[in-house]
This record gives sequence, structure tokens and C-alpha cells, in this order.
Amino acid sequence: MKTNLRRFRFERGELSQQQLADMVSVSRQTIVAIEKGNYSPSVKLALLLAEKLETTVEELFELEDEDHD
Amino acid sequence: MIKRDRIFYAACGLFMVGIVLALMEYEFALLFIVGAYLLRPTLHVFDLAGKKADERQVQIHSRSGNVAFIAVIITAIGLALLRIANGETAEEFYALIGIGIAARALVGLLMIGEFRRTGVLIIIAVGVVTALFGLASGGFSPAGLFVCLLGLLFASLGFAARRFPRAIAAVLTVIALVMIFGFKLYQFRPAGSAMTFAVLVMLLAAISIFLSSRSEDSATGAGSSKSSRAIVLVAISLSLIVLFAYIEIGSKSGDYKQTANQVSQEYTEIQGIAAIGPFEYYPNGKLESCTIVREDTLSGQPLSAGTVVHLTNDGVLDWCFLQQDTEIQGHLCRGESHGFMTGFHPNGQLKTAWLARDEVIQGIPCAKFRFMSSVFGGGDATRFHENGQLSFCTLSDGMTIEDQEFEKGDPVRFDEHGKMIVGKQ
Repeated sequence: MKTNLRRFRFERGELSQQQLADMVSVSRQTIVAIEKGNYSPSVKLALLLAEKLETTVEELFELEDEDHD
Repeated sequence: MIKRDRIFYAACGLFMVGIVLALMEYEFALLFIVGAYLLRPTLHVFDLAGKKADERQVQIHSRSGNVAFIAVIITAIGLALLRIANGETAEEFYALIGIGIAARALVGLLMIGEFRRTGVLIIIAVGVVTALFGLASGGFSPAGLFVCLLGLLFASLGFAARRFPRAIAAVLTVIALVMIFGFKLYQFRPAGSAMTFAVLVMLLAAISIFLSSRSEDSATGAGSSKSSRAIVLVAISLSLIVLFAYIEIGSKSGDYKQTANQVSQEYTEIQGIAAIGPFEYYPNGKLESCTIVREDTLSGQPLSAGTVVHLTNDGVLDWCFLQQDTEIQGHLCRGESHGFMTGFHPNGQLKTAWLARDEVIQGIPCAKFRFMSSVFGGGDATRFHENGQLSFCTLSDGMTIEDQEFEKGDPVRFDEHGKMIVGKQ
């Protein structure tokens, strides 16, 4: 799964990973793992991220070809 | 990076308490140290970490917990096999493996959140396992078939619980209470693994069913009350598992530890024996029984510390309760405090022994103590005549004796010349 989290984070006032983590009540390591594509957030966390970054879940996360297998 | 929150500081407190207790040489200090490490993942599992729970950390805790569980089970199996290869018993490892798997299955069921279904499944699963265990342990002998039927009856109660859950739960509660008071299990004495396990399972299944509600199966069941019921049920389940472990494992070493502690305190040298009480004496003042506090040889028989010994009026070793499995005159005899009596003839020849392993004695394959003995009591002791000839044993394998075919589990009796006394009936 591809994520545009880093891009949206910068576009919304250059939020740091720690600031975004605090906004959605997770650890900075979780934000790092999501941005690297090493962790798929829960629906709740994905919706929270989209809300704080003023976008949609579909804009933040995209399925890749192998995800359709 | 360590997250410094209330859970972190609570864990630090537990850890410091553990360190202090360790310095004071209390063995249970390890519980506090391990508890400090497991505090956060435990709170996460029971959804008690509140906003301090990071979903990714919860997932990592869960996965690492699964791996750790598998590692512990594999290690326990390996150590059990090593014990068996050395001709020793591995009861503690069987209990550890059983408790681990049962706890995992139970918590998994409870997390589904359907308490009535959980209670029903517990009853059916335990019934089926008991039936299979009865066949595996006793074969098609009367004892094995009896346990198998008992298990099937228990499983049928489970199926009946699907239609009449609360009625069956009430029946199980009554049976459990009768067993608790009938066998005085409230004194926390080991009354047999099977009985203790059966009582705890019945109580757990009954509690699970009673905690269920009629709206349980609906998609809109009350969420908050459901999670609180889940917490209560999991807490009760784990408490019962710990209680079972304490009764079955802790009590077996309790007497020995108590004896070992008392060695460093005060013991009495009576009639050449270093022992602790309770002491019993014959009217003529001769020592009748006591517990020896160090390795000693009585009537030519080496005995380990902690053995409870009974002497005749002449000071000859009559019988004893071995503290641990001990080699007596070439036979590994079962020891478990007051569980298995090892007897001697007046000439010092072994008279009664509960074998700790299957053994070929004078060409006869004699069975070790088996699970059935703990359920029904007695019956499986191997006996010898005063001249050392095998008197009685239960066969560990089928064989032909004096042109009669015997099956595994059959009892056989011989006179002092080695001739069979009673044929197969």
C-alpha cells in the first residue's frame, strides 16, 4: 500500500512527525512506520489522519497492484 | 525510545519492589520483575491502557507474545522429552504445556465475546478431550472406558447447554460445589489433577454462561457492558488457571521447601535420626514417625531429605512417603510427599512401590503410576514378597503368562515362588 502521508504532512504547515503523532494519539514510531509503508493503520487511525490533514483516506492511502492479489 | 507515561512509572515501581525483595532473598521477587516487564502489554490486551495504547505497539505486543508462547511451549516439550529420556517424570512440564494451551484457547474464545457459546464450547471440548485421554491412557480397560464415558457424558452436557444454557450451568455449579465440599478442596490440598481440573472447568463454563445475555448474539449488543463482562470473565479465568497451577504445581514442592527451610532453622536428633516433627512415639518411647531433614540411611535404605518415615516398634523402617522420585533397590519409586506410600518388609525388602516409570521386573512388564490412579486412587502399586519375588503389578504391555494372554492394563499376581496365583477372568 502506497501512502502520501509525508506529502500531506508537509503541505499542512510542515507538521513534524511528532506533532502529527500527538494529534492522533499515537507514537512517532507509528507515523514513521506508516510513512515507510511498514505498517497499515486501522480504519480509525486512517480516518483520524485524514481528518487532521484535511483530506480523505483515499487521498492519503492508495492500493498498489500487489494488494489486489 | 521508551514512552514515559503512568504505565512506565508504575512498571518502574514494580521493578524496584522486585529488586528490593530480591536483595532480601525472597524468591517471589521474580514475579514483580517479570510483572514490570509485562505490565504494559497486559494492560493493552485487556484494553485498560486507555489513550496510552498505540495500535501498532499493541499489534507488536500481540505478535511477539505469540512467538514467545510458541517458544515456551517448544522449550517445555523439549525439556519434558529430555526428562523422559533420562527415565524421569515430566509432570510439571505436562502441566505447563496444558495450562499454556488451555489459557490461549480460553482467552481466544473469550475475546470472541460470545460468552454463552464460550461456556458451551468449554464443556464440549473438555468432555471430548477427557474421553480421548481416557482411551489413550487406559485403552479399552474398564477404567479407560469409564473415563471415556465420563468425558462423553460431559460433552453431551455441553450440547444440552446449547438449548438449556442456564439450567446446565446451574447443574455444573451444583456438581462443582458438591465436589469442593465433599472432597474438601477448599483446603487447597491436591486431591488429584483430574478432580481439581474438572471443578475449575465446570465453574468457568458455568460463570461464562451466567455472564451471557439474551442480546449477546445480536449485532447491536450493549458494547460497554460487554467489554466489562469480558474483563471480568478473563480475570476470573486467569485466576482459576493460576489457582490450578498453584494447587497442582506449587503444593507439590511446598512441603519440600518447608522442610528445606526448617533444616536451616531447627531440627532434632532423635534416636540417631535428624528429623523434624510432627513426631509420633510408641508407648515404649520408641520413635514411630517423623520427617528426616537430610539424606539418611534407615534399615539399609538410603532416603532423601524430606522423606516422611514410619518405623516399627523395633526401629525398623516400615513405610515412607518419598519427597521425590527415588531409586529404591533398583526400582525408581514415585515420590510426592503424602501421595504415594513406599512400604518395606521387616527384613528390609521392598514391599510396596509406585513405579515412576514402566519397568520389566523379573520378566514381567510392570506399569508405572498412571493418571487413572489419581482419579480412582490405589490399584496401581507394584508389590513384592518378602523374598523379593514380584507379588502384584499392572501390566504395561500385553503378554502371555503361563499360556494365558494378558492385555496392557491387566493386573497379575504371583506367589512367592513366581507362579501365577489368579488367572485372567
